[in-house]
Amino acid sequence: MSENTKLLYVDDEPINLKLFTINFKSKFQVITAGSGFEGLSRLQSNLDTRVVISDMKMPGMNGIEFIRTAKKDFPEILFFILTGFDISEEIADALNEGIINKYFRKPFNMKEIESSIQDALERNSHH
Amino acid sequence: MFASKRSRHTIDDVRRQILDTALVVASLIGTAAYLISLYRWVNYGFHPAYIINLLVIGSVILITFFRTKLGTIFKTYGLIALIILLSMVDCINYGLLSAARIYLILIPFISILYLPFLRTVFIYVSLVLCFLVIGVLHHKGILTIPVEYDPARYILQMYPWVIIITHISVVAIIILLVTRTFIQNYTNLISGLELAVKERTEEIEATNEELKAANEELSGQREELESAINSLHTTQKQLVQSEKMASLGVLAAGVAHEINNPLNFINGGVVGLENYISENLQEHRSELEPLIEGIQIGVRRASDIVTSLNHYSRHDDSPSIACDIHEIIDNCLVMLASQYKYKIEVQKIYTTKTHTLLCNEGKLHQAILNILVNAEQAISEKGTVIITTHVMNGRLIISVTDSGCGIPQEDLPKITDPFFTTKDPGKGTGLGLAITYNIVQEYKGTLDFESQSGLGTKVTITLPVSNTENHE
Repeated sequence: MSENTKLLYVDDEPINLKLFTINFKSKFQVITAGSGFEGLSRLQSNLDTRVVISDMKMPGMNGIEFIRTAKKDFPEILFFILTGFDISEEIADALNEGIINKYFRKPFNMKEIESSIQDALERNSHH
Repeated sequence: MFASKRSRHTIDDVRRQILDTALVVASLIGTAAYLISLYRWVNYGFHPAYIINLLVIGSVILITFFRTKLGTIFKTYGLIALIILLSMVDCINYGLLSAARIYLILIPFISILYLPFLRTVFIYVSLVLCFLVIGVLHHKGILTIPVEYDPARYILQMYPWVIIITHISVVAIIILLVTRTFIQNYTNLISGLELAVKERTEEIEATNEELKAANEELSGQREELESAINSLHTTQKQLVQSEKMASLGVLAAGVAHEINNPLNFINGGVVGLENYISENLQEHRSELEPLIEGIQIGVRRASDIVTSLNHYSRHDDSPSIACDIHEIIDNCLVMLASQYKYKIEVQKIYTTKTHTLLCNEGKLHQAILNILVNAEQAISEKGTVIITTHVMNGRLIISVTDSGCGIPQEDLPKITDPFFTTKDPGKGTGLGLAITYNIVQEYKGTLDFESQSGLGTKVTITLPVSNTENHE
């Protein structure tokens, strides 16, 4: 893992996008999107994206819907959910099906996110 | 007396019987009297009265013979007419020497049985007048006694005595038999009536018993209905309350999300600031560190509260999952932090044995929270709450002991009743322990209370658990 690992963060709150970028810029190459739709087009134009973290509750398309769509075109990408809500049935199902690797709670814990992504990337490269 | 059917004669049956008896007696003894009177014929020669008497007796015998086929009134008038004819003809012929005049007594006696009173009186008065007219006729010499009946000689003979006693006997026997029949039948009637009354009374009593039983059944059903209505009322109130709680849960979940986002901003901002400080403002670090730390602690505490609210509100009907009882207790304590702070010293003695508790997290939160709220409210100034958990014989035992005011003995059986509360109106719904009780019941657990007034209360919840060996 390095600063070259490209990570897409999707959230409908611009402040969250800004803060996330600032906080993770030293760890990842962060790109952002304000909605699921925007996220999909960002992935199309950034084919080297390896990690996606998405908010759950967003207008138009929620986090899991966005990830399910993206997963079809980019099965090798690692997907995560970062939500202010408690775990929902939709999230639990996605976890069980392996659609997402993990879900994080807001307010985010930098260390948790960092280490989870690291673990997942390492496991992925072994396979 | 013996057979109730026989005794159920109507009064008409009795009258008919009396009349028939009178007819039989009259015809029997009348015949005898007539035969005796024939003696006169032997002594004094023929007299037309014998023919008339024979006709009368013959008619009586005929009526008697056909008594069952003739109507009562006909027989009555017939008998009365014959008696009148017999006695009047005798009086016309023999004057005061007539022996048949005694039959006049029978006229009112028989007619009163079958005819109205006034008619009876009328018949009798007519008879008296006839008798007196005949007397006048004899007195004036218009009617005469046959010469052979010299009264001075006649009364000294023996046979008139026999004739007279025979006629008197006919009357006496008729009166005797009639009276006896009447008394017998009357007794039968009365005892029949008594029997009927008794039977009817028994029937009524039996009906009464049935009614009583039906009434008891009805009142039992009414009680059942009442208790059903009561429990419906209680359930309705509980439903309203749990609906409220559910809405509160939805609200809490929504609020939690809305609070988590700004918390995320603060958190993100602080992380950014921290990085910036360590990279660019190293010399200010020692001064800025406490400020940053304050913000971080604030964010964490707010986020803990939101998390516990999230857990608490998770009391939908989602299936039971493996719950961490210690996390749940801690969450509840976070929610109650403002009430417990500076007032309650909490001691936690948690078990280290592994176990799996399958419950709905939200419900378990609610159950524990209600007990912890009560513990806090039982303590007026300062006090301690000891929370222990241990696993024994496949059961998880959670006990909460407070140093509060305790529960009076008489209230102990009622404290889990819905709406039982000792708190001031508006301060408590009386539902807390009822809800806890229901939740514990739902998971096949038990809820026990030990309390001493002034010393405190120990609440013990036991819940079935399964021990798991294959813990990772």
